[in-house]
Amino acid sequence: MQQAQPDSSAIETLYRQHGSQLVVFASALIGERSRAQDVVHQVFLKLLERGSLSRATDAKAYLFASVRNAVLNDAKVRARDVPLDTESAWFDPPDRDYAAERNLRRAIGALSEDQREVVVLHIWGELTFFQIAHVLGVSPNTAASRYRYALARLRDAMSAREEPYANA
Amino acid sequence: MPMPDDDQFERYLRQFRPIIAEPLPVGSRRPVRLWLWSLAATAALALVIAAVLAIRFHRKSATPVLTERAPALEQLTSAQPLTLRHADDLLAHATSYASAMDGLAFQSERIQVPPGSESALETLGKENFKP
Repeated sequence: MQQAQPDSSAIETLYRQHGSQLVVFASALIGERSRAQDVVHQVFLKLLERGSLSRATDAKAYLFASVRNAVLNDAKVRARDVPLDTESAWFDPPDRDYAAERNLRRAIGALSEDQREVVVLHIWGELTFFQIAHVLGVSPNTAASRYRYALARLRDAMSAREEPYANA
Repeated sequence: MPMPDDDQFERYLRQFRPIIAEPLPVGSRRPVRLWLWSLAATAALALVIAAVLAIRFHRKSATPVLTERAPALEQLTSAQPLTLRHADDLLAHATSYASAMDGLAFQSERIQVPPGSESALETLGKENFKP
């Protein structure tokens, strides 16, 4: 567990460490990478203004929770349902397989929001189920079981088009 | 426990690395703040300079007015004390009664009546006019 960081350089370090993961997480919620990037920036700029992560005991989980709240607040304000943007890439694919990257984004977009959150948090956010439970406000068991269902659905959605991971 | 194919699938998914996030716009925000502060400081300095210049200009422009008025004041102070005779003269030569009274009132505020003499206004004040 990371302790609360008291100064701006520590917050900027956190951004360098987790910024990419947070943008992918926000992209999965919003569906649009540019807006996701803006939301993550806003979260960090607020943190920089405040100068600390306040009462956070787990900085990484706190950051994901902050981004999630910012996305949800933004969605409430704008009151609109944004479809997943298929144009801008979220990932650097292995072997520059950009078709697979598009396929992955499409498959993520096909998941329910609950499943999307838990998959992205665990695979690309590299959060434990305990941390995911903290971010989503559910029990760790719920997070784990939601993840298993989500992974199965994601695999099915991607298998429908191709199965490159069979050789991974 | 995840199934073995889940592990394999997870490994495959982890090969997709999140694209590097754009740098925080911290560098651009700080200069903007600094720029705003310097702009505000410059504006404040300009206001102070303008105020100082305005005060100086006002003093310079006020000084000639005082010197222009000075002879008139001297004339008033050096004018003869207002006596009954002088008042009669004023009434005789004034264009109207009101302007004569104004002239008397104006002089009475500024001219000190020498000891032993009596102000025309005081004398007139003692008179019991009948309509």
